[in-house]
Amino acid sequence: MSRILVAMSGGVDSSLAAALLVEAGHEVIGVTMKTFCYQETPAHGKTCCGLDGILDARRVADRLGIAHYVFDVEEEFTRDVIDDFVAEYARGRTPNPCVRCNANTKFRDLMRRGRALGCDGIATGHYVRIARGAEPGSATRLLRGLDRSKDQAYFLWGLPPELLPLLHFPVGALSKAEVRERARALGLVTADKPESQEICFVPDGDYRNFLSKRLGSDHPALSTGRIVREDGTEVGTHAGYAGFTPGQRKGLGGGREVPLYVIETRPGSRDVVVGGREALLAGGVVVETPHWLTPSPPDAGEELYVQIRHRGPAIPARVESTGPEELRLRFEGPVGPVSPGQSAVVFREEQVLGGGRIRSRIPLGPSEA
Amino acid sequence: MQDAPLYRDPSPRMMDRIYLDHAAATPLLPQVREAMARASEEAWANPSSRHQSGVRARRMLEEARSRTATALGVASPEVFFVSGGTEACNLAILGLLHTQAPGPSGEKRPFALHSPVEHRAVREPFEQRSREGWDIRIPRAPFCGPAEGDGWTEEDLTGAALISHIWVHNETGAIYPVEELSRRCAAAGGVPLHLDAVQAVGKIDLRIPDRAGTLVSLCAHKIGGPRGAGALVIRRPPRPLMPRTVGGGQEGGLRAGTPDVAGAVGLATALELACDRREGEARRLAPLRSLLLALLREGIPDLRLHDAASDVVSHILNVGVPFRDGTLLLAALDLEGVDLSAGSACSSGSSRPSPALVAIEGEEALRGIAPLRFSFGPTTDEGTVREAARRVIAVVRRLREAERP
Repeated sequence: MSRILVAMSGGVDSSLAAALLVEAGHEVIGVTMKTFCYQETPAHGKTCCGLDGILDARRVADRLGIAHYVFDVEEEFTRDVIDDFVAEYARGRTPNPCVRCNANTKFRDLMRRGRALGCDGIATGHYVRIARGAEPGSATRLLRGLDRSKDQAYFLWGLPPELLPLLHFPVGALSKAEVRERARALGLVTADKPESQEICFVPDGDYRNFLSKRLGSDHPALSTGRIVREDGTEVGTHAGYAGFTPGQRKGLGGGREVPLYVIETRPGSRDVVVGGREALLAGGVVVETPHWLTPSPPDAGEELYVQIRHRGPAIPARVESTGPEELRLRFEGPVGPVSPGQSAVVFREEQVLGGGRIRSRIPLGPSEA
Repeated sequence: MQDAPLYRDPSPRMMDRIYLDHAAATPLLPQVREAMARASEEAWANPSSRHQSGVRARRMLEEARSRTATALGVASPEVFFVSGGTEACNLAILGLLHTQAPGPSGEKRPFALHSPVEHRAVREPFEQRSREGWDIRIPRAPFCGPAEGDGWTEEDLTGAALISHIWVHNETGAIYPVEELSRRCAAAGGVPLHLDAVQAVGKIDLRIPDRAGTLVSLCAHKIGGPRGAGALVIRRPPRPLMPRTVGGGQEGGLRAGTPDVAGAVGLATALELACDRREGEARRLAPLRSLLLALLREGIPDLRLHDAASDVVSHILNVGVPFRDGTLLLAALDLEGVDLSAGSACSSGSSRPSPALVAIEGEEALRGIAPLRFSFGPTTDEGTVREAARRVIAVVRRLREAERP
């Protein structure tokens, strides 16, 4: 019997994950991370610091008869996740803080603490699966969740590969409906809790206000600029390029014959470049400093699948070139939009090979390879 | 059964625990349990009812009031039963500081004052009044004696609607010279003084100042009485207090609601017992406190002692372990079966030390320090102390070892 740390957010997925591990006979320690302290909370009812999550996780832990602790990870989280989030927006990119958290805080930093408490494994409620090596010495593989509509492999490409053998993902082989059903059957208070849509450290969803506090309200990313076409024609103004991501239609003003989409942001000039739908399509993607979860990463020429957006499909692609600084992938057909700063995650069948942050798109046109 | 745990916890965590958190709560004394059982069996009627059954309940309530008053050295009409220390503090502070809109510009805002080391049950009611326009002043340091200036002078106190100071500190055990503070409040024109005596009753020789308008908050569950029972003492003649809970006129109109007779009996019984045993317990616990400190220092040479300069009660010991991750330390201690507390800034369990501890030790001194509060009670003996020290030292060593790259 092993002692496993379960990261419990207070949501139904991690609640059931904990329950399934206890059912399987493990000794489970439930942990909720305290990532952020929202000190300016007014007293009128809104909870601060994710207190709701902590309280819900604690109630589930009580029901399961397991210990539950809150770990203060604010310092590491600020350094690894929040600072990066702010810096990316300042550069005109679209960050994905959950990816950074999974790559740093939620697994590596929590496991370090878990080891100090005698844990030999760590689990979460993510919709992914682990395939343990058949023989000793053969690598543990991370697989996509069985329910593709809930698959969360997109957020986990940054896991430290040496942690893979210690990971448990009990709900990855279930559908969301099954998860709720089983949680209800166990009487877990979070069975019908709605999913959180917000980033944990911006609970009110007001990113602009959050960025303004950290960058200063006169930062270029939050200052007015032009909306221009690719040929330079000005079509309007915006209130800060931090509010835009490629593919976006919102915030550009309407009433045009042909709808316009954000193609790219240019922090230097504070321009937001727009164009028609066709302008969003790319022939491939350049991924910076790829991170591999497998001892056998793909070689140039290999065909695989890539996901460039959480809600997007896994697209067939071919490796044009690969190295420590850069991975270049060619899509089979035109695909868009491509958002610098978002993740590109690479699959070989069910297996998550790894991924990295999108640096730029490769325009449509003949391959260089 | 919906509420029972689903799975039997396979770990031995509940066996063989060392409980050193008596300042949070301490086991119900057998005499208290018996007295409360009797009260529930014999006097369960509503004390407000006019019939003989109600009268029996009322008599028991008033007897509890009289016993409480005697134990505290005050008069019965000065004792008001409430649901605990927090309610008593809220009633005193919010009740005395009536809601007032801030005056037009030029007119001096009404002001009140409290120490920087108050418990949340005092701090937060003042914060509420502050948001409503009151000028709430907080001197930089707690009141430490006749020489204390800097926010505590007669001039600073004159005109205040209320001063509030904790009597014995819940985190460090420091005993504050509130008698001297009371004299100063009198000299400042008779300013009302509220004292949080939750950690003081039954622990020090409590002499409640007999100055009119003095308010004292206390409760039962730190002295072997039940949770949910407390009292607010208001020295006569009282300043008018706005009640918080209305709708029945009980407790002289100050606090409506059917009184918890069993709770009041429990409070009175616990108070009497605690006062009886006070000196003996203080003498018994002082060497145990010294022993614990010595053992911890031996095993953790860089251990800090918090509020080392103050006069402290013998049942509280607050130390600082140089270790960055306080939440991890407490979790590890919990898994080792040690029940302790650490003053934390908020209920979500942050690693940040409480504002009170910061006011006493300073922000710099607390950087990278995990505070631990040990508090003793009737079940604490030398064996408890030695075993606690052994486990704490083992955990700290193990965690520090794990941190090493």
